[in-house]
Formats: sequence, C-alpha cells, structure tokens
Amino acid sequence: MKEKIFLDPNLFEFLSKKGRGFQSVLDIIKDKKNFITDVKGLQEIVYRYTLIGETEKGYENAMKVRNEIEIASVTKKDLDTQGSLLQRYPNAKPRELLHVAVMINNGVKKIVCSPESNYKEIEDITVENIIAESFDI
Amino acid sequence: MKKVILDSTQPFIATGQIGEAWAVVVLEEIAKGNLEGYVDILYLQEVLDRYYYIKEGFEGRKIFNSFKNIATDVFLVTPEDFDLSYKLYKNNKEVSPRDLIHAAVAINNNIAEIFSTDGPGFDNIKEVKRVKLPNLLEELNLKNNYIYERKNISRS
Repeated sequence: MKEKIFLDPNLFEFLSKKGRGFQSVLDIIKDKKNFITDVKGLQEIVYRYTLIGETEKGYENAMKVRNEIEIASVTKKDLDTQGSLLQRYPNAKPRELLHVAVMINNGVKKIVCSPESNYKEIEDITVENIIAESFDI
Repeated sequence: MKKVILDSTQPFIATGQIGEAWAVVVLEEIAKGNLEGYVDILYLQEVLDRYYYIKEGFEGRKIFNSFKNIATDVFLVTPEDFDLSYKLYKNNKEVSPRDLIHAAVAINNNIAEIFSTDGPGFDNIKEVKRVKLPNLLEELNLKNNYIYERKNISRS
C-alpha cells in the first residue's frame, strides 16, 4: 500500500497565485490516490473562497476534494495532540499544528503544502514537494 | 437539563460590559453543572486562531484550555458534518460557513439549540434554534438580576 500523504489545502491557494487552477491540482491528486486531508481543511477551502465573495465555488471545490481523497475527522485526541505541539512550538500557527496532530494520529508522516507555510519546523513530519515539482515551481 | 451548543463568540465576551459579563455567568452555570454546554473542535480552533493573529497566542492557549475543561463535552467534527453544512448552505446562502458547520455539528449530535450572542446567522437556519442571552438567563432563573444590573449601569 502506498504511504499516505497529507494535503494542506493552502497549496491550492499558493498554486492559484502561480496561475494554476484548482482542477489542475486536483487532477494530480486524483492520479496519485494516496492523499488524505481533514475536515478542517475542507472548511478552510470554503473560507478562502468566502473571503473573495465566492462561497458557493468554495463549497463546490471542497466537495471535489471530499469526493476524491480520504477525509479524516478532527477528534478530541487530535485536540490533545495539538495542545502538546503548542507547548513545543508556541509560535507555530495553531491551524498548522492541528493538521500535524491529525497526521500523527493517522500515522501520516509526509505533507504537501504551500512553500509559504512553516511545516518544515515540525520535527514529527516531512514536507514533500511532489505537486510543486509537477508544476516545476 | 437544558442542552445548548456554544458558538465561538463566548470566549471574547468578558470585556467588562454588563451584557457580556452576564454571558460569562452562563459559562459559570455550565461549570457548576446547571446547564449542559457543548462546543465543537472547530469552535476551539477559532479561539486559537483569533488570538494567534492578534499576537496573543499565550492568552489564546489559556482560554482554549479553559473552554476544553468547562464544556460539558467537546464534539469531534466529521466529514458527515461537513456534508450537512453544505446541505444547510444550499438553503441558507447568507449564513457564514463558520456558523453552518457549528449548526451541522449541533444537528448531528441532537442538540437543538445554539447559545449565541452573535446573531443573526443562526436565526436563519430552521433546523436549529438560537438561544439569546436574556432567554437563557430567564431559563436559568437569573434574568431578574441581569435586568437590575443593566439598569444600574445605564444610570451611571
């Protein structure tokens, strides 16, 4: 079985700034078939579109991700793990540490994310560049 | 016992104005076991995120931990909750996605009422009922004191 890779949806926003549409990123994810994200990630996709007045499109795109890859619940155990991570990394973004907590509790060690995020500082996981490499970014 | 889910305005209310102070009383009633007050995990994330972005992360973590302990229970948030929030959106396009996911969690956990001092988003979702502060205080037999305090403040 292929090793699971966590998808932080902030990658979509980063790639859209580089002129890559949501669907082109989704196509790569669909091909690889080993991605996972969490329900907060779906909510973040919606939220980012809401900020530009396109909530409906946000839900539609979030549902595309929902239908293509595994979506993890966010549980109380994740909350506790996030609490421990916050002690170790007090200056890290809480949203990033929640995603890391979900990764840890689902046995996921690799993440694809925007290069602008700070996951490289977290010892428990490694950042993969496979999608950015696909676009030669 | 009455059950409500709390919306994420609650941690931001203790700023000294009397109505806000009385919302804190509601939290005390939960801590005393006189009211069942639930939160969901995304609610707690909003607390952390907001304090992080005003560079008050330490304070945010203190409030986060307090609310984890005060709440009767913390509901997990599932993909099915997200699916329901999308269904709710289709009939409530003016409501924020943030309110919709909290409403979905409430519905999926059979909680019919949401205590929120931040209207009117929840008022538009027919599947849940928003409980306003005066009504909740009345149900907790605290409303008379609340009105008395408000009058005193308005005279000063």
